[in-house]
Amino acid sequence: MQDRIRNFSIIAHIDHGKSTLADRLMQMTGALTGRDMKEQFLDKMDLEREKGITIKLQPVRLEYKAKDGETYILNLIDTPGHVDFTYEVSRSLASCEGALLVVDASQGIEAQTLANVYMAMDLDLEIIGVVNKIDLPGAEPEKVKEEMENVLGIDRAEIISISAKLGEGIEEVLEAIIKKVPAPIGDIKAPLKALIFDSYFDPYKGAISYIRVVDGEIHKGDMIKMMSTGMEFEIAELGILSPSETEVETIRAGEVGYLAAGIKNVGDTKVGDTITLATNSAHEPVPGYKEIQPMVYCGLFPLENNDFERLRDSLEKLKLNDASLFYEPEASDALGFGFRCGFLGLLHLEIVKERLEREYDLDLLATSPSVVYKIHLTDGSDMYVQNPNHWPDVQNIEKITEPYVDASIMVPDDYIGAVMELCQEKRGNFVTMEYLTPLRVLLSYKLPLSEILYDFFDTLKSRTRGYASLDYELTGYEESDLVKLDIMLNGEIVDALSFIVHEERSYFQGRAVVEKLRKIIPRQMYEVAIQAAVGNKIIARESVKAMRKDVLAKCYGGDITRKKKLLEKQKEGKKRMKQIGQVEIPKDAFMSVLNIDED
Amino acid sequence: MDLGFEKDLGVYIHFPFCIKKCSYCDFFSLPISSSEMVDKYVDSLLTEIKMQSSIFKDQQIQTVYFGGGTPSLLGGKQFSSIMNVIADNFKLVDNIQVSMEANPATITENKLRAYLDAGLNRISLGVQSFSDIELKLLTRTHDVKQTYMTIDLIHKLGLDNLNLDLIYGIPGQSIHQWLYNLEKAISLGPTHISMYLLQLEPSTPLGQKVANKEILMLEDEIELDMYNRGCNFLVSNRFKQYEISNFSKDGYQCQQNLIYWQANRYLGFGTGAVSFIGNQRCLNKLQIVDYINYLARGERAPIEILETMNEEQLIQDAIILGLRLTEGIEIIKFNKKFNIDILSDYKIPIKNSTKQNLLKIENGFLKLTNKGYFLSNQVLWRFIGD
Repeated sequence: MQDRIRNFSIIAHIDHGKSTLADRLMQMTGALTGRDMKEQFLDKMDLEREKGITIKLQPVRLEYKAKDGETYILNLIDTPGHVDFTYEVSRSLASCEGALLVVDASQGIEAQTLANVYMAMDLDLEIIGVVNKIDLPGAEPEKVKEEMENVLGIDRAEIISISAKLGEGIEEVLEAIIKKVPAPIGDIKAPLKALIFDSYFDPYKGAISYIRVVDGEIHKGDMIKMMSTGMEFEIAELGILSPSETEVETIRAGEVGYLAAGIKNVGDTKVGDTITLATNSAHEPVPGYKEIQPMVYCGLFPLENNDFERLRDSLEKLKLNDASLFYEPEASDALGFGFRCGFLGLLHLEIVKERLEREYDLDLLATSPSVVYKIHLTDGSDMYVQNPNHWPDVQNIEKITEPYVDASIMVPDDYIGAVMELCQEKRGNFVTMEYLTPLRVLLSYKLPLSEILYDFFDTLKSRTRGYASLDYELTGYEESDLVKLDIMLNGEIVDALSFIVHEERSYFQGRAVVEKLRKIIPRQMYEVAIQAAVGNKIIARESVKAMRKDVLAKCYGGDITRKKKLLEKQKEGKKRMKQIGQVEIPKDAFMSVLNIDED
Repeated sequence: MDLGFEKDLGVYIHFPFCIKKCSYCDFFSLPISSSEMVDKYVDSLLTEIKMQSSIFKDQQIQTVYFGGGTPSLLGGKQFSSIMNVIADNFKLVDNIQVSMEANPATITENKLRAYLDAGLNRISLGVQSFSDIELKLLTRTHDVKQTYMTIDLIHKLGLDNLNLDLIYGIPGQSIHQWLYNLEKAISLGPTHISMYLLQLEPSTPLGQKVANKEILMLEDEIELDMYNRGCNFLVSNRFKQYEISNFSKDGYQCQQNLIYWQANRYLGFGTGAVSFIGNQRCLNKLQIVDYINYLARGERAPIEILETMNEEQLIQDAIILGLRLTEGIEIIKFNKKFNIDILSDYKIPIKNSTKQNLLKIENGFLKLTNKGYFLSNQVLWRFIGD
């Protein structure tokens, strides 16, 4: 049975056509007929479609009648294409024996792709090279193949040229999957081992786990055990995805499917965990499980104070479906009650905030994101600080450390200077430089995570005309001279605007933030003084002049209605403001503080 | 709910034609095309007035106001035919104020005499500035010399009720020039001055130039200074301010405008004219040819209902209009009229605005402070909605 199964992923950079290829594979194997085919079926959430990125994995089972006359079951396990979700990518890859590496014929390999291919190689996956978009005028498939050969050692003769858009070369891809990807070799007699590579929350069935059965078999009604926690559940529903959920009685070693077991919370079915049977358990889990830790924190506050409970409920519901989301109540002098939330990265933050606003109809204010600092105190203890307002007194600090990443940046060699300059500005330490091809370079830097969080990627893209690609991996903590920068409005510290900054750059940052706030805080009845301070020392000051004019000079019979509408609009505008003491601040000010234009 | 049916009405006649459109104007107006078109338009007006009068025959007409466009392009006979049809079909109060907007250089002695004979007793002259450079920027069709000539003519024929419209905040205008304009204006003996801050809609040619940064508007601080100095200058010359932008000698307020700001009802005739009847404001749709064709067939021209207000909205409407008047809102009268307690029903907007020294309660009136005039939107928006 297992010799007719092929489990594979698609590795591709954003926009290199992964979702389109997946659609074609489904179409070709009849899993999806042209009529009910919405473009890019696998990207389920609206947000994913809008942002053109895949956030959540959606596995699908295809049946393909190959040229050898046999019918094969192909399980396609899609992977997210963003660095925030690297761990989930690794678990998807761990569920497969092979991967399609899809590279855009006009773009070449990107850093993110490279990182994922290395990950797949580490997991011993068979890599099938695919060059996509050969129909584009700027396509250079031969050049890209050469690059794939040089960089990754994939034999260029075996790389398949396709146009997923036009449906060209799809059959060749399917045949290559059959021929090259090894069949799974699980032991059907061994105790059950099933790897959870994704989960989501269904309001009727509870948490649904997507699983790859590695050894043994699993049946509806089995009592199962989560190996990381020991929690036990009875399987209420078992099924495969073809591509919609279809119930089955049994899933055997080598196969992919889903299960529902009345699990109340996706946190109890953790990605990367191994499921076994409650009796006759496996001894060792599938290797590679990690507890996911948030990398970035920010405060989320309801714009209307009485929406606090609604925000709590909404976060609770989101958390059901997103085990990596962390939150705890936070009180701010400026913003009232809200939540300190932890995320995998900025994209994750943005998605959560947008979903809260869109799906739960909340008006939210996000404070500037912060990484987790580790501070050694003079009393010998350590503390982790992810909220600038918990920053300890200077006299109690022995040493401050902050998270660092190893960043890989791929770029045409024309832009080496520009990239190095940027990394320098961002406190980066050069590690290595490697020519991948005579014209493409892989630069490695050690960089503080906080420096690449905000605008690093955008700046990198703009300084390299969009050619650079970036990947990074958290490596650990390094000592840094950091200080807390406070922002004061009319002499009062606004806690929600405080942030941590490198001491050497505190003047520059303080000035830039104050200048930015001057531009975005509208004139008010009284002059507003904006100051930046480190400790007791004021390092920058600006002011917003008092409002002098807000009048409709003319208002006569013919235009009363129109003038009234202007006043209504003005009232609406007030709702986008947050009152802090005597000062009204646009709600996006809090997030934009660190997004300062450096040029 | 007070729908104003017991009140006297104002009549507004819209004359949409101009010699040419000014660069800052966003009113409904068209360049005059042919005298034939104007004739037809006036005929249609007569028909419309007759048609509507049957509905409102029990109410008195307190004022008649000709606005535009440039109504002073009406011929003497055309004007008197309109006045006659109003007099024949409505009950008019004895001392009715009949007012017309006029542009310098559009009035001849004969025409003005005909207007006066037909009952015109007030002229509002679009002077705007006493600097030819400024008039040019505003693309006005007249120059300063023509202003003097026209005012001489008005005085010569014995019409004393004269308003002069002036604009301040013109790009490039100095405070000195603005005060000069005011000084010139009052030296010509008007009984009423309207001084308007230039506020440009983006749709106007001048507004576009500002949007494209070809022309810079003045700083808010300078505009405020112009406003304050303008107010002081006029008050010290025995004009009384009665609205944010309007000043008059005793007894010479514009009655039509008072109807608007007291939230009283008015009938509008002609294309682009707005009526306020009961709890609705509605607009006569803008196509002149349609308007003429409908009325030629004896049908009412299409209207658009701009707003239908519930009781609360009528109250808010009355507040934001009433607060434009310097005397403000007479609390007892207002409470009685709408059967409310404004001080408790609008406690929060009143409290917040008075705290900011923009609004005050004085001798039973709720009114803007002097500081509040130029910041009035900061008060008015608080009274709207919710």
